[in-house]
Amino acid sequence: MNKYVKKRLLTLFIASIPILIGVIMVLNNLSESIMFFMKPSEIKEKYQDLTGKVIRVGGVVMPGVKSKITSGIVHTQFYLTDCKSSIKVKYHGVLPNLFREKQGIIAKGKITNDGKTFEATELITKHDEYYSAKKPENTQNNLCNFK
Amino acid sequence: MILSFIGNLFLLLITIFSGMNFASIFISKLKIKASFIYKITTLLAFCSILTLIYGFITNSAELELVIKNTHYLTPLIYKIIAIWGNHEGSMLLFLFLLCIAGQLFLTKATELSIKNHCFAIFSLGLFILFFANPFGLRQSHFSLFSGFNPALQDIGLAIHPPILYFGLSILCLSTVVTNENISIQKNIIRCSWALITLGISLGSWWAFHELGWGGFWFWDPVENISLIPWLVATIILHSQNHYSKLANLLKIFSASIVFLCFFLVRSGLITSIHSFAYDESTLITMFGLLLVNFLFAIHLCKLQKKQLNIKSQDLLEVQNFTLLAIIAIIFIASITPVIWLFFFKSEISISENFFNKTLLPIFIFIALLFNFYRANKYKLFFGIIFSLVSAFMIMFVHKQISLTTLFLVFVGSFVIYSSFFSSFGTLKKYSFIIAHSAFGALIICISLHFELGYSKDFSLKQGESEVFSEFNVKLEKISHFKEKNYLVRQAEIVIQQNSNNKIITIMWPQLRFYPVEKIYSQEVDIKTFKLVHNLYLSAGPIDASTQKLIINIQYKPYMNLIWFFLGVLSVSSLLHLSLAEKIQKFFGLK
Repeated sequence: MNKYVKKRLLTLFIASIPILIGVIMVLNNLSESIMFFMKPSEIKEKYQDLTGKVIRVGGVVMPGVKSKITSGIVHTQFYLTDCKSSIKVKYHGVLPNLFREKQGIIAKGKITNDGKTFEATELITKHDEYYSAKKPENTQNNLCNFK
Repeated sequence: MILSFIGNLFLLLITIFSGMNFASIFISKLKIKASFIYKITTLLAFCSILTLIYGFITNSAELELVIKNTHYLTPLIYKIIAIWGNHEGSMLLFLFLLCIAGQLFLTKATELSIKNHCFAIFSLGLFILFFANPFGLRQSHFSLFSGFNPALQDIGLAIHPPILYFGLSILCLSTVVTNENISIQKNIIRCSWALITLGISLGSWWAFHELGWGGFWFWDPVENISLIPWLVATIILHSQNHYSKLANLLKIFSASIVFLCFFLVRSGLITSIHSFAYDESTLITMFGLLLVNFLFAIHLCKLQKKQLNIKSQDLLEVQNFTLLAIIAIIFIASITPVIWLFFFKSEISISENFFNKTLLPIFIFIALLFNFYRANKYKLFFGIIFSLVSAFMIMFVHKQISLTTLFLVFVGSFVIYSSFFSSFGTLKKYSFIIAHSAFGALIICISLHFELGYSKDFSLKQGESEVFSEFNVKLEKISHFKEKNYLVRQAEIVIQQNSNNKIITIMWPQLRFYPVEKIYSQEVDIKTFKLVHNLYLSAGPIDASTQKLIINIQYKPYMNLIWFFLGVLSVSSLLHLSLAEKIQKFFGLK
């Protein structure tokens, strides 16, 4: 083995340690940052595994949104449905622009321990370039028969 | 019929001419004057854009794209910019800018470069003609104009996409210019870096004042992907005067990387605020477009072996590979949801926490390490003293500041210091000093911005007021009126100094209703406070039970400075250009 190769191997070895640490840290971060996307019916089934984790719930806002203001904060409460099942969502803050009843939205937040309420920290109205928020796929079921 | 026919004819001719130019590389019998044909191609691309603009201005009911993206009531300026407010039109704009970029920078290059560049135009032209045709005929019998997305009816759409696309299309040129044309290569990379930086900054400025969330960077998948070509350009920019294998490789693959980003954003793989309506054919055809450009880059690699067989400078290569690691992380994080969906059949997304936790430390690492390395003992000593002093000064001014922010202020000050003192002297280094100190200043401003900013929700009746830290927020009145294509509910909110009731500013946040599009849209009001800070106010709905208006007010410290330094950063790389040199000579600076 000549000098040049030895030097190269040494640099490679030294360089590989921070790279390895970096890769492990990145992957670790990545696995922690994964947010699952769920439907209300899926949450009903497996809410035990989800407590404490930040997840996203997608569904349609059912009519009957309630909101009240106490000490300067808007508290909103509504039901989100995927036409099979529905979940109560609580949100504190000003509602986004496109938030309307009977519209598809995504709520980001955590599920409470009993699996009945979803504490949202962020509401995202989903749309494409033509600004049509997504409509529910299955409108046959009773839960989605609102007019 | 006639408009669609003309538009398609232009597209067909663009494809044929650029294809001819490209084919002449391999078919030696085909003796043509590449630069002349290329000029015609550019002219045709211009004509096709004009045709589309004509269609939009005259509300041509024969084009599907016009029907979907405009209305009789849409103001003229938004009719024109609506052509790139959708997938098909924006691809046409990119094609046009690709032609223009070549026209500007390849005049002194070899015929072969022009011919090679024509491959990108040819492939994109084919793609537009068959799979993203903006001149498609109306599909239904009725011409029901659906109006134009209100979020896009903004000056931001007029400037952000064209500038970003122009930067990207100039970056594509470095694929075809070989290292023998060193001055062209340098101009290309400086221009593209400046325009991409400016384009991304304008995008975040647009998001700041249009979306009404009060942020300017959300780690949205499309924002992340826009960083990929920027980082590629950054690597090439920093390796200009040095030998770097990686940079030379990236130069050749730059066009394919740009197409990769288009693929990731446009194919519908990734959902984001920039999502476009799509179908599965787009996914496959865009992948095809990416693949052919990638294969072509491999072909070019074979031709430019000499360029790749060099010994690189070690330290520079470490920096380049660190930047490459950022690219890799962004790429992996962007496609993880797709892979997950494929294997586990459940939808996931990566929270922005991941990017804050991984990318920011790497940026800080780069900022520190390479400035430490460049300085000698004394400079290092004084640099640390200078940075510590400035960190303490900030602490003195702002009192309660977290340790992380102080550390970031330290890092930023150190970058500013070393940008001045590691290479002080010749005028040509102006761009170096300006760029790096703007980068350092940005680190300081952004960290302070997040540390000191705050936000609050209020609900107010007419005449009522609430306290917002040092301000007094008073709802004066609510008025309703009509604009050309929307209805407005405008609140007049007076911001007073808490201590002496002196009026600081009056703000008019709006809630607009676009009847054609049937969409509500918030229009925030942003006012400058003490020259560098911003007050950011958005008005929400009126609470039904109490009849109170819900508003959100945010204090955005140092916001104007952030925009300023982003602008400086964008311009800085241009100071190296020959034009800039001429200006310097003219004013006797050199």
